[in-house]
Amino acid sequence: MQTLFLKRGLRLAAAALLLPPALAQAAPVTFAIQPAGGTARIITAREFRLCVLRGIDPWSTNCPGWRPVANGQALTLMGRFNVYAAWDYGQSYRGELEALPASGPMQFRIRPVAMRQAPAAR
Amino acid sequence: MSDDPPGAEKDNYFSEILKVLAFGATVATIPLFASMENLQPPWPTAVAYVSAALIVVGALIAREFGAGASSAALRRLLLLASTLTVVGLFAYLYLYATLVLTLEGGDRLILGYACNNEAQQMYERCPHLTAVELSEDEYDPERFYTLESLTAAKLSLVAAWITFMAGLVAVVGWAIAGVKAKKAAAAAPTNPAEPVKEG
Repeated sequence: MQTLFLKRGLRLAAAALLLPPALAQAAPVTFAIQPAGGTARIITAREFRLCVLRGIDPWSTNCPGWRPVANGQALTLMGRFNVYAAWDYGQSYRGELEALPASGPMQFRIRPVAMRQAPAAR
Repeated sequence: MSDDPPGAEKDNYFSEILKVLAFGATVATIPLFASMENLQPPWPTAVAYVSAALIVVGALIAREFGAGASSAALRRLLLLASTLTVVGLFAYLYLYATLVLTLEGGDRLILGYACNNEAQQMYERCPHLTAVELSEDEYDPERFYTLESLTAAKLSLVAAWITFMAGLVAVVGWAIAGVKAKKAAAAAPTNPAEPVKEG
């Protein structure tokens, strides 16, 4: 009788362990490239630094690890990245993106540096 | 039940008490097991099922070794299981403190014992990297540590956890079996044919 109780009790105790563990949550980042027509790409901070250490220009596509991102594209990202964008008329953007593990969905705006600074200068 | 010996009434009384005790002990262990959800290894993700299977196997083994054993033998088994529990717990806590990194969002990562070549050149802290270094490549330990060291880290965590769990289940099982054996020893004087006292 005791062993039956022991078995039932242990089964009950085991049920508490059957809860699924929390899953990794990465924040979806939506890229907004303004004005349209610009091409953007991102690279992880580690791959960026690795290129610096190896003497490769980290902003050029010679640095391995760059991935293209499109306007309006939502990517599930976690960690720190470098972002580069270029427009046909010669303007460009260089920036950093940080997606913390606890942060929710976010929008990352990519605009040419000159355009962003223009209103402040006037 | 009709041909029970004279001591049977007392025996039934004891078994009723034991049932209550066993039930109480079981209820008391539920929050203990539930609280382990945050303590159990982050890998494999289905470790809760492994733990549950382990509890069943541990209970069956404890029952097999405990059934019919004398009170003194059960005491030795209980000591052995207690040692296993304490050793397993401290080994697990040590490994957990060195190898598991909890991120802001509550996610847990298992670090490795050795950085890969690239990471060794880039980070002075190797192999004791923090969330700051891991954030530089999507919090993916596989990009910082050698695969062998990551596998070894995962398996050592699980091995320590299994030692702890097996010991814990055996302690509970043999403690209950010990109470049963004591009851049998106490009932022995009414039946001189059973030499239970000498363990």
